[in-house]
Amino acid sequence: MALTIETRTGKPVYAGNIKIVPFARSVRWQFPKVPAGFTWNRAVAVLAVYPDGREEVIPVRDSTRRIEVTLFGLAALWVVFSLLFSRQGYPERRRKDGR
Amino acid sequence: MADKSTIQAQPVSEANDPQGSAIFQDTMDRFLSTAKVEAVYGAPMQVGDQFIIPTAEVMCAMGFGYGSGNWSANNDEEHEPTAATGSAEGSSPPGNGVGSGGGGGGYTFSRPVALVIASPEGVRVEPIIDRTKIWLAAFTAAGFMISMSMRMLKR
Repeated sequence: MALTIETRTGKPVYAGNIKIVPFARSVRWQFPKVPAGFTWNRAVAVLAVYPDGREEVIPVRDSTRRIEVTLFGLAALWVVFSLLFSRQGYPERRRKDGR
Repeated sequence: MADKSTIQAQPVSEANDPQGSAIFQDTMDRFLSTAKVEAVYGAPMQVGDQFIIPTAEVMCAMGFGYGSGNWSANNDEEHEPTAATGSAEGSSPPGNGVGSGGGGGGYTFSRPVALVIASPEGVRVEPIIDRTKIWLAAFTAAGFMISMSMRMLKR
């Protein structure tokens, strides 16, 4: 299975007298000998070149994805802690059991 | 057994199905073209003295399957009646057959991520927050947490 991760540079775009160079990262997974695959492509950053020669790299952050991952991460942590507590037993239950 | 029919299945190769392979290859090439930078950056739009460039993420999954088979019956010997075929007269006529088929499926997903705004003051990136997606994720996470907690309490 061929997994390819690459960051590509697009053609520069001129917004007034500011030059903007886009960057995108793609993840490609293609099965060998079988016509099947998966592609995930997303914008990662832009390079802004100002008329005075100053350059600035501005990352393109996916806020929706970050919030989603945080929510699912919290849920996963909750489950891990719940499992730990249930295995050790709650203090009240341990007292009743005489442990 | 006099019935010497054979069924052979084989994958379709470029040699015996060049047109089909070309179609699959063309579709795969189009699929792989979604990995281009132009697929996730839109054309700049001018609004007043600002230029807005929309950005997105593109996800694409695709798969095909195809194959062919041929059937041949050697009818050199007399066709005897069997339990499966019934009488000799009612059995299927001898001959050869070839069949092929294919199928495929795919999924494409695209979502706006942010806007690149270039103004005389500078360039900034404004995120696009999909509230529906976040609410769905919140409800899913909350449902999962509540159901797990209830299972733990039952123990």
